[in-house]
Amino acid sequence: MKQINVLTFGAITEITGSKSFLMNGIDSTQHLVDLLEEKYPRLKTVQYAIAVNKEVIQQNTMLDNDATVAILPPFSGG
Amino acid sequence: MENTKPKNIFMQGAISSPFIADSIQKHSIKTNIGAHSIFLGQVRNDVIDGKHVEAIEYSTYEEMALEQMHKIREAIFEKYQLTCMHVYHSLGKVNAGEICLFVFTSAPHRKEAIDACEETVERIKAQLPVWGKELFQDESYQWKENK
Repeated sequence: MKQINVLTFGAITEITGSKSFLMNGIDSTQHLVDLLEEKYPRLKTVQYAIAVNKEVIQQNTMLDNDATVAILPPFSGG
Repeated sequence: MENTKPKNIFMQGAISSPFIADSIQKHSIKTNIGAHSIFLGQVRNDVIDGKHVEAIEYSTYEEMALEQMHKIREAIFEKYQLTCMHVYHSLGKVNAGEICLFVFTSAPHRKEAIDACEETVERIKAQLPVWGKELFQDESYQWKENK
């Protein structure tokens, strides 16, 4: 079964309670978003971007086994 | 650019004035430099709802930030004739009044140095996965928003 690594940062970590965790059987980023928003409804109220293997994606993206998906709140560096 | 491995731009805590002065000093040996442009980002003692920002705590998705910074660096070198560029960003806690970002561009001529510095700063603030947590005196906090 496919396994992916999920990373969270900033305000997103506060919502999910964990900086990193594994998930099984996730095919795509949309699938991941649907599952996470259902499990953590507060996610629906905040802005975030998704990066797959360190690249921000603009649309639904299929996920390979062992992909790393990061849930990124709005950047505020500098 | 020969260097393909992403440079580390992060340092723990504030960026000190001696460090900045030392960086400038190190470039006096490069005789084709005619201009340096330097940007320093300082933690502002903002007042939000009557509370003062005492410090900002920075965190990052480090692997991704270094790759992104490498791409920014390449794009800037492609666009401007620069001799070099150095970027340093603080991680962890930086108190109000201290420096958290240091961007330093050098070129034979001033226009390139100035324009490249400005564009680099804007790209860093828009594109690097770095987050600032604004810490208030009463130990509450809020996540910073870049404008």
